[in-house]
Amino acid sequence: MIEVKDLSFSYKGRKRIFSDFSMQLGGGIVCGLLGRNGTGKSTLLNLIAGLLTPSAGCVECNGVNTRLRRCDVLSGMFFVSEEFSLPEVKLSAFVDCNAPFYPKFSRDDMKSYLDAFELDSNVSLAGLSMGQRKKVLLSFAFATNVGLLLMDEPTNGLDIPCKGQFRRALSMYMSDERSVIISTHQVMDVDNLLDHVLVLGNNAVLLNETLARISSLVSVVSCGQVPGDAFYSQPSPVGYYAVVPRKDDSETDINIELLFNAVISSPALTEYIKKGGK
Amino acid sequence: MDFKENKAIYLQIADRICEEILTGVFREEERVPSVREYAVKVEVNVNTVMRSYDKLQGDGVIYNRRGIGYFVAGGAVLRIKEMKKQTFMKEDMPVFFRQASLLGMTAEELQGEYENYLKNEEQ
Amino acid sequence: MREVFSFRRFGLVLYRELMTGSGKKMLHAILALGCTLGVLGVIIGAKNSYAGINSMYLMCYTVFIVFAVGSVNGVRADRRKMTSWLMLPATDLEKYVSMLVYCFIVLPLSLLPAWLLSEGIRNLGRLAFWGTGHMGVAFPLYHVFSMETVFSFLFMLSFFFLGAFVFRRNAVFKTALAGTLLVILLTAVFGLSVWLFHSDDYVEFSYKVNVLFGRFMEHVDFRWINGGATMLITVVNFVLAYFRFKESEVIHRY
Repeated sequence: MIEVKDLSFSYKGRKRIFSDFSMQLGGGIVCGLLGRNGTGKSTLLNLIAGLLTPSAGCVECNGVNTRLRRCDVLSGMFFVSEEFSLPEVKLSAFVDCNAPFYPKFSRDDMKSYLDAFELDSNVSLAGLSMGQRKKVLLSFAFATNVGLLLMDEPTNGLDIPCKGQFRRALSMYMSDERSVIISTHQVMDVDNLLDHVLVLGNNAVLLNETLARISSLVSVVSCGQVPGDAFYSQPSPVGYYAVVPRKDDSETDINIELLFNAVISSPALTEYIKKGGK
Repeated sequence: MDFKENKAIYLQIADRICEEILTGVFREEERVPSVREYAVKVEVNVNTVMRSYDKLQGDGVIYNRRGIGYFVAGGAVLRIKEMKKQTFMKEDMPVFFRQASLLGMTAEELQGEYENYLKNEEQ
Repeated sequence: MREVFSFRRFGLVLYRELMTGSGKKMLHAILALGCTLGVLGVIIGAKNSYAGINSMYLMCYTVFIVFAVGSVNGVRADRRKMTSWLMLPATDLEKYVSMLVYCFIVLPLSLLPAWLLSEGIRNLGRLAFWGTGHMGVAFPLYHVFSMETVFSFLFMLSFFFLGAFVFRRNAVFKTALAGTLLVILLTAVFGLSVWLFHSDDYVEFSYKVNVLFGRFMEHVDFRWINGGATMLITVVNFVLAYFRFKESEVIHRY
């Protein structure tokens, strides 16, 4: 579905963010895009959306270069940016003006997502708080029923019950033909919904794997002393959490924050995963 | 050196569904929620729930009727209890026995305690 | 969906722009313009001449349009609005044409209600202060309207339109500055070259040029060349603006 081909990119006068980066993302996945500040998460989302021009290479969505901003590609994509602005009109006017651009948009879906977020459809956008406006934008985004949703920090600004509402809305939206890429620092808000993880480091992609594959290769254990073969460990209330190669037993739950810390500190781990377990 | 692991989410979900079958929330030959419905309910990725359902199918706890959905298999309750017993004997018992032997308890002591427990349960 | 231009989608883009984009701001601007001109008309014109009023009105309308055209791509300064504008599922051509239509059809048409409002206020004022004898309507365009002035105006506006896509902030000011500098530069270059090559026999040189040119021009109506060149440059400006628009990105990288 999404194919990044030999992508290179740098902002003017600054060092390269991507160098010959390639990757593929199929349909029906929820991908978490993680990375420390400045590693290029928002940049990657913008490049996928066609909002920035690569210095080299390209991003293709279903075989079409997204930078061309072709209408049929754009109507199958929606970008929920971290900072956004909604016009100061009534919600119904906003929907009337924007929905016709998305052929699969459904007003019924919009209504159910608004209900899930406990929002009244009969409001003026000008009078809403930041969080409520975010919920409106998210409801609209889900209701477009596009094949690709790009989200930059979608849970930012949502209070705790709303994060649950977001998870529910995302679950309702998902299907085999739809993919979502979520760039976030608040990975625990969505960890159970992810099935693919993309970790960006300085100048490189550290990890690009499905969680299923990761949990088939490594395990996360809680222990009193750090095991010898641990790739990474960090302190815990009872001792340590450690990331170790998986022995032949049942798979463990992979705490994504822990995995992230492990990946950015242990090149051995990324090698191990890339090579599929030595 | 104690190693404790959190089971993978798909296994936790499979366990939970087995619990729900044992406690009668889902009865044998009755329909269970679809993969999507369950995913939305527990706010988990659909593919993860799919793995849970696949595992339960493989264990013979549920079966799929094409076009209609998933149903609890006949005899699922017995099968679940048997599987749980196997898990208990393979995983929990060795831990218990190790602890007991470390503390120097004899087989007779253990048997006595267990018989006491069963007697209290009956009352 | 694969067409390069669909009237339906173009209409949707324009509708969206008017309803939720700059539509409200423009409405306020028109109202403000109409009221201000009306009040000014009462104060300045008092009870007499229309000529002064007409030129003043003309100047105000011109300035208004120039600023409005120059800010047509103002969305570029706001990254958030730029994101949703670029991501809108319409072709670049449809978006571009909607901006053209907004500048050169919707805006001029919108001056009509401003004019009506200003005349209404002005006459009400005149009625209040000086009685019915001095009422009347000013038609600012009446003495100036001709094909040539329209094309010249369009010619000038096309530079501001292009400037809106070239400069990210303060496009109007920068375009005006660039235009002025360009005119100065061209005059200087021309004057300098003439002075350099023929400072001693300037009269003879200009005579030769006139003769040559004159013979050439005998068969040509100079007005057509002038008009043709003007129209060509106008069209070139619009085409350049289109390609500049196609290159837009959400972050200004130049």
